[in-house]
Amino acid sequence: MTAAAPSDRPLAGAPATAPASPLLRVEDLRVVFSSGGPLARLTGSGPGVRAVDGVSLTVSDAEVVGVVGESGSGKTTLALGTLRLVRITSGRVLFGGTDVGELSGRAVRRFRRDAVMIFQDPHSSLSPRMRVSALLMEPYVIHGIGQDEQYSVAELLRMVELPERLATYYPHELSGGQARRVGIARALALRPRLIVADEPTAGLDVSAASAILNLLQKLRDEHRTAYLVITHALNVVGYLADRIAVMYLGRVVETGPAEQIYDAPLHPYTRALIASIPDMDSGRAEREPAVAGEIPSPRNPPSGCHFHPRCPFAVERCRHDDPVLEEAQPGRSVACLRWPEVAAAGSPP
Amino acid sequence: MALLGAARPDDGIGLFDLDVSSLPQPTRRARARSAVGSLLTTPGGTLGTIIVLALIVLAVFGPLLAPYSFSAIDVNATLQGPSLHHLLGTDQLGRDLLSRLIYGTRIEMAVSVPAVAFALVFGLVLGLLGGYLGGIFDNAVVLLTDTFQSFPAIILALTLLVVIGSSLRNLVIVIAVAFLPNYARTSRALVLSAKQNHYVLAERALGASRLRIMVRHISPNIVAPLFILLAMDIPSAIAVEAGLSFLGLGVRPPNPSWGTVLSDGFSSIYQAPWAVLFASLALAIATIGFLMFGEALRDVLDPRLRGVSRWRA
Amino acid sequence: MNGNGGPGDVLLGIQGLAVEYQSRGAVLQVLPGVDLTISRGEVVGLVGESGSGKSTLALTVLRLLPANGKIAGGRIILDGTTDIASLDRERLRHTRGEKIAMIFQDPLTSLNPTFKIGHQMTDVQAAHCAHRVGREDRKRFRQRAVALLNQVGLPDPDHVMRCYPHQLSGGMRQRVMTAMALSLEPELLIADEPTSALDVTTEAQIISLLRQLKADRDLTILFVTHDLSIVAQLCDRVVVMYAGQIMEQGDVAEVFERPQHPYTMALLDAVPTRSHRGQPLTAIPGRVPSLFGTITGCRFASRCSYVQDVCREEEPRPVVSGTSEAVRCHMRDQESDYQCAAVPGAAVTKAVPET
Repeated sequence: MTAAAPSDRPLAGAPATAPASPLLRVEDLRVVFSSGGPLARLTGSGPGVRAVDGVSLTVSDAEVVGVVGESGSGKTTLALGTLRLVRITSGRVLFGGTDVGELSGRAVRRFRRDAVMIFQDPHSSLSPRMRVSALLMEPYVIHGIGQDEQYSVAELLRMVELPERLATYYPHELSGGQARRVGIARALALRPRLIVADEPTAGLDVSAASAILNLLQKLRDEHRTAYLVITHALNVVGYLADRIAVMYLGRVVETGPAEQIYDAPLHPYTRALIASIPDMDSGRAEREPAVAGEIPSPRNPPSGCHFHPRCPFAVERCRHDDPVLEEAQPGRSVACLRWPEVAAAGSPP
Repeated sequence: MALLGAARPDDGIGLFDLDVSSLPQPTRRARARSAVGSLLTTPGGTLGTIIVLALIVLAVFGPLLAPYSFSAIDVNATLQGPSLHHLLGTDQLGRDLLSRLIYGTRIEMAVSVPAVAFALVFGLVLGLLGGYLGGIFDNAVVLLTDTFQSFPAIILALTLLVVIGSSLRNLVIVIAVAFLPNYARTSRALVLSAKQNHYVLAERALGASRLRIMVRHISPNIVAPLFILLAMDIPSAIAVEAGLSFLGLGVRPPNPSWGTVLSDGFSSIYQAPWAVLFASLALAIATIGFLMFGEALRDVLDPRLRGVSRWRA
Repeated sequence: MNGNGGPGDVLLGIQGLAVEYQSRGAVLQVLPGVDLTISRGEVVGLVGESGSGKSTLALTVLRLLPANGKIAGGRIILDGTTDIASLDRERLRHTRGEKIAMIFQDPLTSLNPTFKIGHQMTDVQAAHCAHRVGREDRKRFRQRAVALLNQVGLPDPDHVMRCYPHQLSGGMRQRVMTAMALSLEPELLIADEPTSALDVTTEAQIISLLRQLKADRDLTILFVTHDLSIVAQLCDRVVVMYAGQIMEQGDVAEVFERPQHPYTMALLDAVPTRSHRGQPLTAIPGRVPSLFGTITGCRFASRCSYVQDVCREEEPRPVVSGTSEAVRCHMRDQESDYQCAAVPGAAVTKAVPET
């Protein structure tokens, strides 16, 4: 490991509970992709896709927060919006106490050092005509980081458990798993405080996925970085995450500690999600699919609670009232007025 | 995109996660050699490459290869047909046609290649600015190129030449301007599509400046089609130059642009068609050669364009 | 159902199937010689990582290999009578769809985007109609199509018939593809990772659908996947493939409870669940061997935690071990000097929360 970290970077602690000022705070974030004219774009009204429809969450130092949702849930857009890679329609993102949207110039660049992203498709996120060594050194070149603060190419490759000879390879000569690790190494190069990982195990076999998860866990233990993990795979978050936020059609429907969400979900959608995971243990016991119908298009979300057409617990009120994410139990929030009934229904089959 | 060597993902096998990294890595020399080799796989490619190489050799070593000087007048040998002394015959002033055409090659190359090259470079820049930065820049680029493209190339060149006067340097400038809009538009389209790639987003996420992304990440990935365009445009540039010289607006006599040779020979076309014949032949060969070379180049640089069928029926 | 023979008979017998690919001058032995039988009414799960050859095997049954692939040897016996590997064009065409049908991973690219669903579904039937298709036939085809769409659980079949593929969701498209596959009443349905591109909730629905279809029609299914948990839910038998060879096969419950082959054991162990929190997951070290050269010895040797010298020199032959057949492992070979009874088919550490 090279010399000490730059002096102006605060040490990342590891608080056990949510501290007063979390590393990342997302406040009522809305991202609307509007298809109307310029006026509609300005006012955020008119037809459009409400990809992120009022999301609030926090990530503390060295914490792993998993955002779980299926397609159309807006989780990737949430990740991009948090990192200022996509235009936000309304809401705030506070990183280390500062409003990210207000940053400009040098400060933005600084932000990009502290909060990095690992992308879903490993191959397409690596510039095709650059060798691995150039790709790994790129972050340092961009930020003008001197040699004494750098990890060497060899060190970075070792950190992600790749053989040194891969340094001269081009991205298309790497396997999926290797390319993904290079992406992780690039993110780590800047010693960030927050890593946003978009579907870190997508497209990988069980074995390769496990290897990546092991790596992420190890890196988290060693570097005390905070993670925001975006995925549709519940088992990934189950393994990695401290807290989970479940998203459906642009809204967070439930948050809480990972264990508790699994054991006792409070939102019908979460419950259905958990029940839908093919389980090795239940074998070929006949299981009704936990939820009927399919996810509606984000262009045309149902009125009131977005989940009500498919919800086995829905009542008349669900059609009209927009449920608000509120604390139901200590440390757990849910956006559903029927949550006591859901809790009473017990674990999913 | 390294051209050959490791197994490529679109082999239709899904070998992506196999250990292709255990294959020996092709060296840079091997990559280059196989690239050149691919140029020669088709008869068209071979022919094109040979012609292009020959033209380059003639252009560079012309004075050494030409039997006579291009301005050597021999009043006793005017309008002769091919003979042992003058392999392609002589023109109305007794100048050796072969030598004039060889020197002409220098002029053609010296005008068309830099002209198209400038068009490529400036077109690339404009396309980058318009395509990547968007907004006002893009509107400006589109407006500019639309305007210029509405003029036929030769009319545009002609007009400009009349205004700024004809010289070798001005010829290059004028032809470059005539071809610029095409490169700007093509480059812009390529940039717009390259912008969608995830690696551009990844670089932005790392904090790369827009300039860096344009120069370091987008440009290298879009120059390939532009080079192919360049290879195919050189004969057009030659034709424009020849046309201008034919009209007397090109190089000044006695410089033997092929167009000049053509126009000189035109008046005596019935008595001695040799000048027109061989000058036209030179133009035709150069055009065919570059076009075939361009096609072979395209096959080498972007095999996906070939559209090889993946599935057996 | 057009078939002769009752349940329990062998429907598909693959013997010594060898498949090669041409890749840049080199020849890849993707399948060196595979033996597999599928009986009527069975749901067989073909499991393996990417590069294991499972998709190749599935595609080869219908001879759908890409242009650079070919069958280098072996037979594919359907119904005890026909060898698909040596069929002529015309009879092959009749086998496809009528006897064996296939559904693929990405329904968006497997359906023709420029034709409505109704058209595509009637087209399939029309293409296999023995006589010239008249108006009465078309009407009949349409009615059948609607009935099929109903059977696969689509709530408004008439509407779906009028839709283009891109207007439907992923789950709906997959149902449409299943309906299309069933329209000619095939005896065997091959499903190549049909749920990999779908959300978890939709995936559960498709699995349930397949189960129901199997029960209603006594359909035989060959289900190719990398997801062991789906196999546990849906399949009767499991076939585990690695680097082109079958490493173990047997009854699903038995194999998952008492796996005999180290690879199967490792696979089962590697599934991450929340009960593994805090501990490192068992990832199988190393990677699938390159198929570009010849491989001596056991293909799994480089990654096996029980490897011995003999494993690198001699290829293990398929034996019966415990309740599993075709186990390729020296450890399990009773006639081998290296049989290791000390390593039992361990019950896998399962993610069953303590109650």
